[in-house]
Amino acid sequence: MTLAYDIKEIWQFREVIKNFVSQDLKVKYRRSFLGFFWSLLNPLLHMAVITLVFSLMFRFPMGKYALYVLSGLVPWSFWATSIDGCCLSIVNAEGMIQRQYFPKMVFPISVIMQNLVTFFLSLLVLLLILAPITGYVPSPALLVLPLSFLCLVAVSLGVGLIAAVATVYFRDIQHLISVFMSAWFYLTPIIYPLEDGPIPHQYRWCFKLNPMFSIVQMFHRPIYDGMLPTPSELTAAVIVAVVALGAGLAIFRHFEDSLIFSL
Amino acid sequence: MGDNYITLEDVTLRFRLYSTNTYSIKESFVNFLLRRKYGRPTSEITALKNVSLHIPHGQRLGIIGDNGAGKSTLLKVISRIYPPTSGRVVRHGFIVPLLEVGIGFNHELSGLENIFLTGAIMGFSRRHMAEHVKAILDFAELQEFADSPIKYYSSGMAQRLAFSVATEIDPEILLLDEIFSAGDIHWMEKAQRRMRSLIDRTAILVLVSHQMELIKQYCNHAIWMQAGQIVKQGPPDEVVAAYQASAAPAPAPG
Repeated sequence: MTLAYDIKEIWQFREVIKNFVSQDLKVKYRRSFLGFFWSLLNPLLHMAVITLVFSLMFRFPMGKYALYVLSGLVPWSFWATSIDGCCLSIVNAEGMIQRQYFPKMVFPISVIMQNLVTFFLSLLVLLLILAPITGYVPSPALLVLPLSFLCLVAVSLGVGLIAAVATVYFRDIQHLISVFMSAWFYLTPIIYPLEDGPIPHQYRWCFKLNPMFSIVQMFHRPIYDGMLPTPSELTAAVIVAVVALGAGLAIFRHFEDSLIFSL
Repeated sequence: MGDNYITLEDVTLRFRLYSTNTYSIKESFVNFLLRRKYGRPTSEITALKNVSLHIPHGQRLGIIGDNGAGKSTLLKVISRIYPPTSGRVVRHGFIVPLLEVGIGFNHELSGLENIFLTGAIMGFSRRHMAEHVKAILDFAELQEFADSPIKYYSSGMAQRLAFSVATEIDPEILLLDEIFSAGDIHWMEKAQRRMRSLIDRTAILVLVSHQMELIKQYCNHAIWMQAGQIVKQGPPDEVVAAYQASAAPAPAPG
């Protein structure tokens, strides 16, 4: 089967994806009084705590620091919740998969789409709240954001596809992944800046090897620094995105048909 | 229409059966430390063995055989749920597998929303389902509960809804694993009539059942499966008689 065939097939199942996404959002919305706002409030509160604690600890200027944290934390949350959701996406759909044919990619894709909605809304809301506080002036560099965003989605989908397959064969992998992700979070310059930050100068190059650093940098640069990512950062991000998505698709398609026998 | 068919060419399906359903990294790590070769005892099952079958337009095919003979597996291969290990399956027509009703129901969502969800899963557009919503709710007698979440339904109500959605469709190829119509007497009669009309509408029916009367009543062709192979096929009366004769020497319950 070719990739083109897969894409066509997923397109035929778009109605299913739409339903999964809207069903997830509706359930989220209904479960609580504040409803959907929780998913927006959550990163905001998270960010407020981080900003408070670290600006006191490292003596960063608060307003500017809040903007820095926001511009890294929102894409990171998208990435982290996507991987987390993709992990169980196929295992949880077992009941459906056993009774009806689906292109299995429908499930991880639905997870990514659900997170997209939250991602856009939280980015928007947080910018609207932060702009007046920090005297934020949008820069034309923001025009690079669609590309940043494409890279982020590609990485998340690619790794998410691998996580979804891996969880079918090793059910306890999700616990490992969640520990791993939280370590990764602290190793990525999100709550601390790399330049002028607490990391000693001679170790900074190590942090730049982190593939997620290049992705996060695609958001830091236009939102926080008000400038375009440097050509090397941009190249790194695109390479990371393409490699992750390529590997994810290859692995997923290799296992897709035999998944059902291990559910 | 007029050219729906299913062809299976030399289809074999083998899969490994694991003694435990889940395998963990923890286990494989322990196995690695203890230098165990492969910690997961498996046995390979041949569920279908060189099955060739042609189901032409208009056929009502009944599949009979003992438990574990591969009847349901065959349905799952036809419906693409299981990919065959070798061989080829050609499908022409819109397949609706009703292996179990109520798939994909989300209990947090209302009955109405679940109708759309199930419809989408079965391959129908929102527009198409919108035209059928009223008929589905009417048949299930759940008009006034349409907006309540399914979790507040009684199990009977949920089943009625599931059945009504699943049968308010126009498949070209209908795959049935037993004919379901549980419920009170009033409901059962209604459900049977609806099932009958669904079966009449479909171009091809494939029915797996242990009830020989149903096979004789609904089907115009039958196959008898044993250990993953087709041992006899022909008119339902003959195949059923042969199957029953094979079971006669050692009368088994059911």
